[in-house]
Amino acid sequence: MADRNPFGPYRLRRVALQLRQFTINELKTAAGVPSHAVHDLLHDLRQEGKTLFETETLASEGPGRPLSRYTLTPEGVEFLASGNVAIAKEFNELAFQENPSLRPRSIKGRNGVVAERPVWRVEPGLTIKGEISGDRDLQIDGRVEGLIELNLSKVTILASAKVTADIIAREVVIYGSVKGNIRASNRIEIKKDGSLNGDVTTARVMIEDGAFFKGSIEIDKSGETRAQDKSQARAAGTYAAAESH
Amino acid sequence: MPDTPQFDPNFEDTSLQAQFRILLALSRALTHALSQPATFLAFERAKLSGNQVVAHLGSIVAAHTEEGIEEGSAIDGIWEAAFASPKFRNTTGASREILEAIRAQSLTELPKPDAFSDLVSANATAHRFTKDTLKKHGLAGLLVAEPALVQIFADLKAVHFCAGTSRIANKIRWAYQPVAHALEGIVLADLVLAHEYLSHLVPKNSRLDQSVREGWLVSALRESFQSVPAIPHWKRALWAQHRADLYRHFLKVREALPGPSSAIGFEGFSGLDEQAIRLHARSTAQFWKFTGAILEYPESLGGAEDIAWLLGEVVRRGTEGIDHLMSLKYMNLEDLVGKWDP
Repeated sequence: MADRNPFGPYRLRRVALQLRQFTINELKTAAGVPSHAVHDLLHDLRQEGKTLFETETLASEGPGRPLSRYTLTPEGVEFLASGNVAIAKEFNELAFQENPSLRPRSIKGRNGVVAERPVWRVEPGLTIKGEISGDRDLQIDGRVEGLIELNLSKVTILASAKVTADIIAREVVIYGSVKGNIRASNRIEIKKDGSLNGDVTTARVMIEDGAFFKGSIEIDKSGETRAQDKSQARAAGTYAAAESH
Repeated sequence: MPDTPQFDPNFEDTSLQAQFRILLALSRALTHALSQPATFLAFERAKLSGNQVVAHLGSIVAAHTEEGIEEGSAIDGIWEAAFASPKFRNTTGASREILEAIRAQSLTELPKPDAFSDLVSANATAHRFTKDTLKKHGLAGLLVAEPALVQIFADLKAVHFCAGTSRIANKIRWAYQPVAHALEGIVLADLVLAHEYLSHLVPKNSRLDQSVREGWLVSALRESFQSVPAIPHWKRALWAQHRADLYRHFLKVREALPGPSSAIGFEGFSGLDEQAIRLHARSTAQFWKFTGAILEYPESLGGAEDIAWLLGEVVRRGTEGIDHLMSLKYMNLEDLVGKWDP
């Protein structure tokens, strides 16, 4: 993200959009930020080289700065709104990762469009011992011990999850802790604060700063193509089933 | 329509009613003062704003309520505490005079027997505003002809939303909560109730989620009242602050419950408001064509999930999402869900 702590500026820009017309005092109060944050915002908008807001002087008598009211122009509205949407997408993704049930799902898959794949979830507090197999994506927020074999699916191990298991999947994303070997036909990602103790075999691997990894990596791209072919074949089957109703 | 709201049995306690009457008296006095053009400049010169004054008084009322308010005369103590606080203590000149005038008027308003009728008139205003807005966009048939019944109930732990609705009973339940933002809610009663109509009583599908009711439709309401001269600037500013205060309160309540909390639990996806503003700015007609399709979508859980997904896509696709909505001649949500390339 561009800002170190983007939520404050995001909120300020959002309230500015909501008010559309404001004094420094009004905007800082409504957004719950100090005056300098509002001055910084106006300064940034001036730097853009376009007329993003207009200034009206309300009163100039007396000591101190003249009292001004600022009105966003249509270009200013578009500028602030589009900038915020880009950041909002990241907020949403973070929220979905923290709580996957928040992610919106279109379940109908009408008119030949693939519906988002259904997901199995291991909820916090739940422990599964044994073998998990099938064709859905899996999100783990609890504990799993044993074997996870979901060849064509994505397995996500969330931050509070603990997995002691070998995993065979299309894609594995680790935010939590995994002990076991992983074979992923497409890729493996170990996110910041995620931990993997085991050997991996995959086409692509991504390990973020702050992640823990102990084990070996074997790059194998042959499975990627096979899995893609199978996935396409399965998707075609889904369309056919949906259209036959 | 009755002259006063209905009271839930848990709001029959006269001390609770006295607390509410204090809020109503302060609200009348504040509304009168903030509607005067001179107030804005006087407060600005004192580095105050209407929002700050309402929020500050609200927090003092809430603190007094915690200590126990038994009757309306407690308003004297509230004002004493307000003028002793740093925010008001150092005011001089015009801003001080205005604050004194608000105090004086609130004391005059307190004993008036018709105080509770303010909620009824706010309800009538909200119903009329919602009706006029929908009528402009060919959606008038979605609103019931008569305003809903307003019922006040006590939510002393403030764990509910500040108002709730029953479509079947055509009733809006107003929560009396001893919290700092309760005064803002009363000052903004017409807008709070308009939100109840547009987000909760008008949509045909009762399964719509937060992204629709507290996200997109709240934006729709605000974009509509931006251009209504009868809704003054100070009220629009207070509305923005009130929504932010509700969000902070939501997070506080959520802290005590299991599971993560996020803005999504309160108002749906981040970025929806911005996308609503962009679409509305490009074409009010297209914005309402899309919003109308959401409001008219029939009862269905799957449909509600599709609409939530659609709004998620509108954010995810950014400018392309707005361009796509602008390009549609007919706004059929099923087509939109089905034909939008994954």
